[in-house]
Amino acid sequence: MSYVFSLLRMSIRSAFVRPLAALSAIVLMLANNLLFFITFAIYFRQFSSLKGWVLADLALLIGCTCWAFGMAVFLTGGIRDLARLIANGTLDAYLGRPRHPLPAVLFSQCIPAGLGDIACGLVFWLVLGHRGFAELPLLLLVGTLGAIVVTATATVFQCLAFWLSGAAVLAEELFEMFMMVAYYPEHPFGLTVRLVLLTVFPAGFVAMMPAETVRGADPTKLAACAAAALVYACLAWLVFERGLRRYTSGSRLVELR
Amino acid sequence: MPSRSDWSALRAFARLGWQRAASERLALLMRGGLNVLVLAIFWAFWRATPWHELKLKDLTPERLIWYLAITEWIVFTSGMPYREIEDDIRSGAFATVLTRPVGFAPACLAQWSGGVAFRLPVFAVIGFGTAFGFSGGVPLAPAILPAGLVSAVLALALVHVCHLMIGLATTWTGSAAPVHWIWQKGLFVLGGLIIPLSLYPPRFRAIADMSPFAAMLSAPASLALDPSLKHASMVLMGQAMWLIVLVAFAGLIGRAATSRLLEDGI
Repeated sequence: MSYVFSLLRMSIRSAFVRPLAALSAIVLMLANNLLFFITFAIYFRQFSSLKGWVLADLALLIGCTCWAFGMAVFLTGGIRDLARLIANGTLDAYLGRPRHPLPAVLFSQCIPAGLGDIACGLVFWLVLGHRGFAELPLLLLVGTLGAIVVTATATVFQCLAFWLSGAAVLAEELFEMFMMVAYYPEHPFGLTVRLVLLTVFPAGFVAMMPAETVRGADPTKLAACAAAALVYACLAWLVFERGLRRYTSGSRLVELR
Repeated sequence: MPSRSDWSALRAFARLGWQRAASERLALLMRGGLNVLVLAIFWAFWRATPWHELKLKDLTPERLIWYLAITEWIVFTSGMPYREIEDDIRSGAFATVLTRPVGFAPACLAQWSGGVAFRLPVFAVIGFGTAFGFSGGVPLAPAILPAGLVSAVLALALVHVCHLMIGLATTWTGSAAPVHWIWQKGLFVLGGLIIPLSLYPPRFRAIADMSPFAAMLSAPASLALDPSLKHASMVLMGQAMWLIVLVAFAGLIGRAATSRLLEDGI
């Protein structure tokens, strides 16, 4: 754990080397998410509900997505470079270290805009979603479990580069698709689509299931969120390990970092 | 007035843009998949909406899915070309761009136009095919199709002029991404990406109508809701007016960015 904290400390420090740029990214990301919410505010001005959901429920869901995504990119921003590292052989620099390479890659970069998403999560939950401070521990828990699912899913997408050439673009597009689906309520969908979103393409565990957990204070759904975070984290680890066995570079072993 | 050699150079840039777009097959496939996914999400969304609560009776899930298919057609076809300018400025390659006989902005726009010419029919087939599959019909009268195509091209021209300015913002901000986020959300909200402006509160609609964003998305997509020739001509006139305004503004931004880069270096 001290290794992980050291990596985090270094990446956060380097992200805030230009504090003004970092602060503007945070503020603009906050504004970005609030602007996006206006579309739903307009929708609920015209319609009373969407299959039992009202605007505050949408705010709860979007808050969960913002928190999960924000935590994932702020703490583990390096994951979005993994495919590029694999493709150009720069992963070698991580293989020469005494510790496992995956944490070093995950925590190699901190994206300050993620703090804007995290702040947005709190605004959506407590202000627009009308949730009380008493529910905050549960919200933080389910949001963090969602962040683990986001990071694990991004890892699996990026690991495609071990098997496919040009996978960096594919991974980024898949991740965009994943986050796009997570931002919208899934309860209007049919059973088949919802099953897909809770298994193969786990966007359901980023926002929908956490939001339903908080709405209903349902311990079963909380357990499902926790189990999903564990399963997808293990899956990401396994996929990375399997991919690493295929990895054949050795071109950057002497690169000084 | 550009010379013959300038036109020849611009055609070469357009050809380059076409070839690049044609070579990015995997990215095109994934974006096509994302397009289908977005339409599927909103088909379910609109079908779950309690339409009986709405006073506007001519808005149905079938018309709205075509509305969204048109707005998404423009968004997906345009892509995010501002990143090329951002990369050029940040890497210093912009210095080589300034030495070319053809102006930077016309060259950029010509290249992007080549890419658009490739992607436009591809995303039309994907998006409109999906909308037809969901709705089972086409709400556009055949007489309006040429106007629809011209409107889409004008909308893409407006979007690309904005991307030019966003990319040049890197000169002052160091990264164009935050500027792009805000612009994009302005486009989605004031442009009526998902919900037609006719559903907006009156004051908010007035603000949206006064912005150039409505000319980029809502205007061409509104032809799916009102396919009359009178409405189409109003749409085209509004888009042409905004194109003149934005091109003039982009010229000023371009001059300011170039002089800043020449004075302060890259």
